[in-house]
Amino acid sequence: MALWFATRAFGIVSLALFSTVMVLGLLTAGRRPPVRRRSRPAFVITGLHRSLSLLALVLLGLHIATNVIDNYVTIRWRDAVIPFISDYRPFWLGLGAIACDIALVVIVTSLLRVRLGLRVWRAVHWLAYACWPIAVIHGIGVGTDRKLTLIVSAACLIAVASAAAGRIAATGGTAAAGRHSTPPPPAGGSPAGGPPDQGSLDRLLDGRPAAVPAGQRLPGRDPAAFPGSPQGRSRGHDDGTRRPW
Amino acid sequence: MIADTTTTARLLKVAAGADYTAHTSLIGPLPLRGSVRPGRVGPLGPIVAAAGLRGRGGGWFPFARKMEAVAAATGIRPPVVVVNGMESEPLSTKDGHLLATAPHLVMDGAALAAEAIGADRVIIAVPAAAGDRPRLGPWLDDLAAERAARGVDPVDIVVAEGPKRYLSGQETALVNWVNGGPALPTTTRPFKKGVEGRATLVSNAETFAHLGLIGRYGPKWFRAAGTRDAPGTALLTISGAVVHPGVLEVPLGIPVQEVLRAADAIPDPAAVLFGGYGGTWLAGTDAAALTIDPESMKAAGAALGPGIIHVLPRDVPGLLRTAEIARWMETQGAGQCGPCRFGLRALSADLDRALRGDIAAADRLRRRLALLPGRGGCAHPDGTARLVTSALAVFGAALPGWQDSRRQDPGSRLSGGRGSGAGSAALRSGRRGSRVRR
Amino acid sequence: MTRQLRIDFIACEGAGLCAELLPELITRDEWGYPVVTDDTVPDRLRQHARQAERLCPKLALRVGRSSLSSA
Repeated sequence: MALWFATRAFGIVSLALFSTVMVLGLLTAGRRPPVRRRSRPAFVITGLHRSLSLLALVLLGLHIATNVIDNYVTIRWRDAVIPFISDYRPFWLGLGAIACDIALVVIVTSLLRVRLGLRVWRAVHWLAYACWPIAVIHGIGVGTDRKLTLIVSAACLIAVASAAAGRIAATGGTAAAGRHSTPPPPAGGSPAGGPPDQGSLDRLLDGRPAAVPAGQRLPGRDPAAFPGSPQGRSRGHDDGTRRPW
Repeated sequence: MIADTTTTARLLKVAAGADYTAHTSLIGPLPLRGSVRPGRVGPLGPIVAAAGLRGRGGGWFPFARKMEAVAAATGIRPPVVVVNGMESEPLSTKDGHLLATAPHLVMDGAALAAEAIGADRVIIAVPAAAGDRPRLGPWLDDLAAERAARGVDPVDIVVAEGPKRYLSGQETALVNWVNGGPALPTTTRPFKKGVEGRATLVSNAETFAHLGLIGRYGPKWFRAAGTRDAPGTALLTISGAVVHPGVLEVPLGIPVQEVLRAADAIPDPAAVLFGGYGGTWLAGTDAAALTIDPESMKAAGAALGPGIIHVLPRDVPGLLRTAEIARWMETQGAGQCGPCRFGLRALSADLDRALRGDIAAADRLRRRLALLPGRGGCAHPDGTARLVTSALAVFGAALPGWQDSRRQDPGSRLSGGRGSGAGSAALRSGRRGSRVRR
Repeated sequence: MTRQLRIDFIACEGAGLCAELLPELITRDEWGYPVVTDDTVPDRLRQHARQAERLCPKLALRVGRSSLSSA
């Protein structure tokens, strides 16, 4: 009988803890412009989020363990991770198993976050938004003391919903991608002055103009004077850029 | 054939334009050397290493080492060659000029590099809309098609036209755009993971042009001009207070004075800008004492960059010009990092205020300049900081209250690029050079 | 073997957790972005550096192994 109380207690406390973890997570998420001075160090929230989630996991483990050990109803270890195969209330217990599975994956990937990289980690971490409601519904559906569970669940729901609303309301700052503008032109010197005197440099070092095979007429250095020189032609995207593949 | 190995002008002497027949009758056919095992550099590798060719886009990185790095990073899929013709420094016209006058030479070099590393494709990137300059994209396309029809190259050459913004020529931004993303820098190095995630050899158009000649005439010919550490010739773009602005080809190591004379610059200019809008101002007298090569420039605290030389006209105040440039550079940022989003804006604002006599702004300017380098998503903030720092060093006496504010803080040292102290540790983390490579 | 701090400045958003957890090596500029005052992590700070690496919201801070900058 004591174990049965323990199971419910561990379940409710672990739900409350996971809800706190959700709230803390919602407080840190999202892009925010950097703030120079803060009343409270930022690492506190992130650190608490991590630590509490591990504590919640331990309590979840105890919730499962007391459930399995208790012989009042037959629940096996695998019922906790494989959903809907249990003899006792398969549907509601199954929801718990799903939530447990997701929580395990989310926490393990978070422990390996540095190695996995941000994109993979974030993709998995979004599952937390699925995990938490499933856990709440599991608690309400499987629990025998409905009133307590409902009160706790309601409180958790309000907390998480407010944090979520706050997160959605916070607008991310968009970086100025840079406006198109013309660069300041180099002052002085006009193209009408003609190109610089390459010949003087040639003559400087070897005393005579560079050797050119007889009969070869080199075009002038003005690109427009070349036969078939590049003409302005419109081709490609509207902004003019083109990747031909 | 160019038999005269001491010829100064080389790239500009093989200017055959669109005419492939004229091109090959001048310098001979494309000297292909056969295919190569993946992961290794073909027979061209040692030749380029012996020639000591360094990238002409501003980084001056040894090209042979780049080829080796790409070959070593090549996985199952063959690497890609990207010819960077974006030329997004507004003061530079050498690449556009080169591509318009000797396009086949650039394509030759790219084909040779592609063969040497076993690439299966060459992408030539040029700006889409070039304002008053002729549009190169469709024209180069036709030339590539002609070469393909003649069966000249061992690989496909495709031409892409990129957006005309300052950062489009930065090599990671260019690769990002080629991959379908925005033309904004990334932290992935192209030689490891570039186009389609493959090992990618990105280099400046002029570098490939030199390669086209080295492949034919060999390293000894290439080294006949230039210095021991910076062999060969380089294209320069001269602008500003000169009678003859434009593109010049010079042997590296030539005195700056000779270049100014060939362009007929004003005598005793107050200042000269080297390297472009992300480069360095030098006082006229200091500039006149230099030679055109990356090492001597670096020793003088300047950067040659992609061969840009801009002579300040007499009636233009250097600080005002710098403030204009800084304001424009702010608009050209990617907005991906703190120094770009906030630092450049503050820099511009402070410079404007300092010019109006705000001494506190001048103080803030000095402090913020030291914090900009080495902390950005690319070297864009570094370049602008370098420009403004050098401007203050050269023109600072004209700034109201500047001398007083400097005297109050004698320990401060305006570093033009990599300096000691707060910035330097950040400089070491993660990036090889502080130049935006184009 | 020394540990080296490396920051991906494009991923970084200036959240500042690294400067809170590793104030001996990282400070923040006036806009909140990190300034690495010393990128070599001494042994006594290694645990803190690892925690900063774990807690960075954008995984922008990395504690690298070798003391040579990677190519």
